[in-house]
Amino acid sequence: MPGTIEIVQPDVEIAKDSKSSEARTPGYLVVCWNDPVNLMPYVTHVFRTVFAWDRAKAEKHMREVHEKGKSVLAREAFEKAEFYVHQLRKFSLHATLETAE
Amino acid sequence: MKLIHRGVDQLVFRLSKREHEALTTTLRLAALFPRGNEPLSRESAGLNKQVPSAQADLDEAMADHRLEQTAGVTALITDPRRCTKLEAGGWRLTLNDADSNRLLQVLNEIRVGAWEKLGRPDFESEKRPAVTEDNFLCFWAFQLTDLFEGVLLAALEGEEPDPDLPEVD
Repeated sequence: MPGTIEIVQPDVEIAKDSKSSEARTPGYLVVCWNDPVNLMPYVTHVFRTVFAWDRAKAEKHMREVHEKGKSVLAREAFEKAEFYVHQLRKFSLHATLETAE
Repeated sequence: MKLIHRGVDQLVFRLSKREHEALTTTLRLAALFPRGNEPLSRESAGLNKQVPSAQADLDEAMADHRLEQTAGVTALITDPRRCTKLEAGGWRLTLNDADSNRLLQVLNEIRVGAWEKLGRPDFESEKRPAVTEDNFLCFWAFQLTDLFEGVLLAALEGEEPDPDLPEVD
């Protein structure tokens, strides 16, 4: 038909991604461990300062550290996870970098 | 040590003569409690193979940071504009947020160093070490850092100054 434009639909193929969302999540964990030396208000303050968390979230993680022995604070790509560990260590917290299994 | 004024990015504390002496003495104890390097990872044995430079990077960053923070706090405490001796007695300490966090970090570094030198005791358990001539400075530093950190943390977390507090003792 003159004057009409034929619209050609592109072939759409949905990518078959066998990886789960878990597997695509960055694979390094920032973990803070309990110790009997750092004051609880201090730990809360450090979490708020380093991660810019609100008080409730910082206190939740602080309590997890105190009551369960450790808390996973972040799951990130290597560089960012390493940055967080460095920041936490600067405040003398016992933070480590672990690989997410 | 008490908060006497809160401004925009400014905290002003009043210290008695004894508190000022205690704070400066505590800060000088940092040299007695040097901290070693700690492993970057606790559970991931293969992390160092994945990223061989990571531990060295952390150790270097911490060494540089400790030097910077100690120099920064020394400059703060000896700067008469920020740590002012008052004619009527006592001292006035004026900190911005960065200064406050720097002082907090250095005090806590001393606290953790003293605790490590004591053998990393759990003070909540019954295995509290006895105070001896060899370790009394560790206990002293532990108690004093507790006191000063508590005041700084309360101020950083929004404590309001007491309007009735006199400027000096």
